[in-house]
Amino acid sequence: MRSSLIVSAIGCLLGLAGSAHAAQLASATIYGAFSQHTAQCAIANVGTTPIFVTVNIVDESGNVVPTSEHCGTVQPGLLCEVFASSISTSSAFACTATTKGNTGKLRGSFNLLDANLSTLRTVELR
Amino acid sequence: MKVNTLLATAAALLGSASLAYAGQTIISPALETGSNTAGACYVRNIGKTPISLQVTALENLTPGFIPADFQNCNDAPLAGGHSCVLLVNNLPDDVTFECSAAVSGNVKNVRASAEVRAILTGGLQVIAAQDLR
Repeated sequence: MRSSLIVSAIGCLLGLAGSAHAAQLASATIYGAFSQHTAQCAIANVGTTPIFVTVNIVDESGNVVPTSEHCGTVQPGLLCEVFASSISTSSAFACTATTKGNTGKLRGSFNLLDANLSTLRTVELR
Repeated sequence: MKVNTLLATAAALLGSASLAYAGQTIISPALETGSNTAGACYVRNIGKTPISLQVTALENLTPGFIPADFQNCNDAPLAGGHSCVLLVNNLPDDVTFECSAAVSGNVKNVRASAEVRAILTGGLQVIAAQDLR
């Protein structure tokens, strides 16, 4: 009985450690080229239930860059894309996707595009 | 006795969890340089607490040959949510370039990238890049 209580307590401790924080997927900070014009972050839900996700594109100082949207609920099998236009041609950028649930069913990529929307650079969120 | 064993197991579990937060070094794969190329190492702290870093540019996986022309990674802890960079304005021709980052803190909260950039008339363009792992 006493052993069971201790095992339960350990389980609770480890469980709490896993659920205390929002989970996130994050990219590295990347630069594309002097011709970079648009930053795009795409988050896909590859699971079978809707997932609420907040997506932000940030500059090197961690400041959130104005974007078209920040996503929200992403339905199964769909993806949400966030764009930031007219970005600095001399700075690097990154993307973060935050969810209160598990990120296991989310896939993310962060892209830097030129004015013709040709991809200059792509990195995975992990 | 059984209780003691369980407690010891728990202590070992928690202890190993703490060990995972000890300092670790991450490094990029080798990137080929060419004529008129520049290099960059970006490190991003995606956690909430500052981390201390030592970021180094490597030539053929060896430190000491490529000095940084600019860096804001190594002199002060990197705040949560921020990025720092080490820049090399002109890489040696036809060698490999790598970035390494010694991280004091949880490396799970670090995202880092190494870049080789072509120096063009209008500016820079990344021609090869890899994450540090």
